[in-house]
Amino acid sequence: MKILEVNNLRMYFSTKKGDVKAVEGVSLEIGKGESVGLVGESGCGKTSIGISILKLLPDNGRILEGEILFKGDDLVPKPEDEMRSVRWNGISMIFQAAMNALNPVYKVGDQIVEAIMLHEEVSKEEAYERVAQLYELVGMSPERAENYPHEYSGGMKQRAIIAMALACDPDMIIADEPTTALDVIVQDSIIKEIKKIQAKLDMTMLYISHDISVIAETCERIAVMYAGNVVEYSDSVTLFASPLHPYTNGLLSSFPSIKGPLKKLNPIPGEPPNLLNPPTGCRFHTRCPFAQRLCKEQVPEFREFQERHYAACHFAGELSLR
Amino acid sequence: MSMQKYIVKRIFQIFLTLIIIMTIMFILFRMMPGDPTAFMLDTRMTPEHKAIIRAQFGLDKPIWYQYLFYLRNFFRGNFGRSFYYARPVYDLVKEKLPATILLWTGAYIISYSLGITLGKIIAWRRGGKLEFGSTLFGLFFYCMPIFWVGLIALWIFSYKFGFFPLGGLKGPDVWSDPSSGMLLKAYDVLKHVTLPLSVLTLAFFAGSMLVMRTSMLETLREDYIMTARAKGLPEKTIRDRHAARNAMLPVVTTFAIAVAGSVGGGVLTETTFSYPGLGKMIVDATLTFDYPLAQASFLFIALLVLVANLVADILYAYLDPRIVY
Repeated sequence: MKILEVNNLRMYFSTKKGDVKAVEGVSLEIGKGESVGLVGESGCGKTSIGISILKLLPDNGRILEGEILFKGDDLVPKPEDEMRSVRWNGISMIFQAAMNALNPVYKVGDQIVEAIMLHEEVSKEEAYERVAQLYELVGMSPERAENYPHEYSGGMKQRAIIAMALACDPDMIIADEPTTALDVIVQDSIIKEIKKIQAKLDMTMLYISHDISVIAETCERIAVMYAGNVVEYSDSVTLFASPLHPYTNGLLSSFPSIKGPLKKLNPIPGEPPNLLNPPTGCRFHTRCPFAQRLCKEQVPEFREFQERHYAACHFAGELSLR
Repeated sequence: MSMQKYIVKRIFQIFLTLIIIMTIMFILFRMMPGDPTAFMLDTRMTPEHKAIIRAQFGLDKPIWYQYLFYLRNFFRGNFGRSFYYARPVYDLVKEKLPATILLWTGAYIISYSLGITLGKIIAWRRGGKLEFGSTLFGLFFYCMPIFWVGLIALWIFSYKFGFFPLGGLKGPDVWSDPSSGMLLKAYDVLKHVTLPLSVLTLAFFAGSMLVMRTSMLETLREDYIMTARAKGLPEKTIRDRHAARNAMLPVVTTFAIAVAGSVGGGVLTETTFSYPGLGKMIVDATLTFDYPLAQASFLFIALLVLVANLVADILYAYLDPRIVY
């Protein structure tokens, strides 16, 4: 069963210089209990997809076309008040803690209780009881719910935010760079926590990160994004073993492997394009070592090559990658 | 509690500040040209007579003696006798202080509530007609000389239409009539205080409104606002509970600074409306070289400012849990 299905989503930001084409024809499906990683360079539109799903766009952002089916129900035409009941109750979000995702003037426990009381008919005592359980679930002492955010360390804030995301027992969680600002040791413990909870609650997750190694550790399936497009989508094992898109290949060769033999890294030459004025055809053609004339002229279709292995490349399967 | 300790420490600081202010005032008044005796003494008096009067007020003593005497008396609550009114200064201040507290704190409470509420709303609905209108309106009164606005208000509302009395705080017909009840007296005071209070509020509110607006716009970009939206909270809760609460902090800070700066506005308003408060008394006392009275009024106004600062600090600690004293 599919929890989320995004079809041909197009989302632009209007700026003084013109439209920033942040998300262009993105399709994605997530089954129940699956964890999907969304990986790509900074500014490629990962977060834009995340906030489009919850329709938390800033004033200058708009969805031009496409569908976002959440349990079969299209969210795109839904008005604000109906979206409010989907938020947190249906789909919740784990934010980056270092970025002040918690309000500094309220006790952390109260901020979680606020979300519970908003979506469920429970008494204050029951809500606080739930907070205590959630704190134990994320490996924190329940008394800490009485503290203010500034009394927490970075890792504790992140745990509290995870607890908050789980508060209303959502059908799906979007985790937007949840470990990016943490040091590697704390990052590791948070990732372990997320994996543990994911397995325990059979959580459906969309995990957004620029770090493919974090994604590989947490997700069963990986979607690779480049300049507003999802260029490849498959299960993690296949993606690492036999990528179909040259960008995925480039991304994999820019990361060192700890276990394998020592190789010289092969970074992708050039820079990601400006989304105000993206390249014609395949947006990757300006940096692609295999680019032909066709790539410049025609937008490649996002096709299914093997079962649930999609790629958007004219020459997918014909190139010798990896 | 550390908060109690902080308050005790601050009260001690206020005390020290007062001594410094008193010293400066003492020097300032003695440096002023003119002689207080010139006002109260008849030119036909003999020099011997003058000397007796001067001796009565201690003006014949050396300056350091006068200074120490002055400090000692202040701390005993003895502010001396007014040269001009020939009454104890303490009684005069006691009479005028409530009127000033009513007008000034009233103006602060109304203008800050108004400024914070409007600032919050215009930041939330950025670029609307309300933003344009209230900014223009607020800045107009912010920039206009307060006595000019006061005179125009008097001319229109008191003289032309007769809605409000021309000045004062208590109507003699109401207050001298023993049959007037509390309610009637309160209504009379309200009628007298409305115009000066409105003028002072109009002059003050734009400052807090603009600070609140800017602070609110900054707060709305914070990530916890995104969290609040993602939680599915209604707009009003996000605006009031999550954004405005945080945006208010800089407004409290500017309040502490603004109080000191707005004393002039209060003095001018009281003078314009012949309002029987400390502000008007300061002006009168200075013009008549009434040293004891002017010194005491200045001191009490300084005390009001210092107390307002203390209130702002305590409020800040209450609003922001990150502040620990």
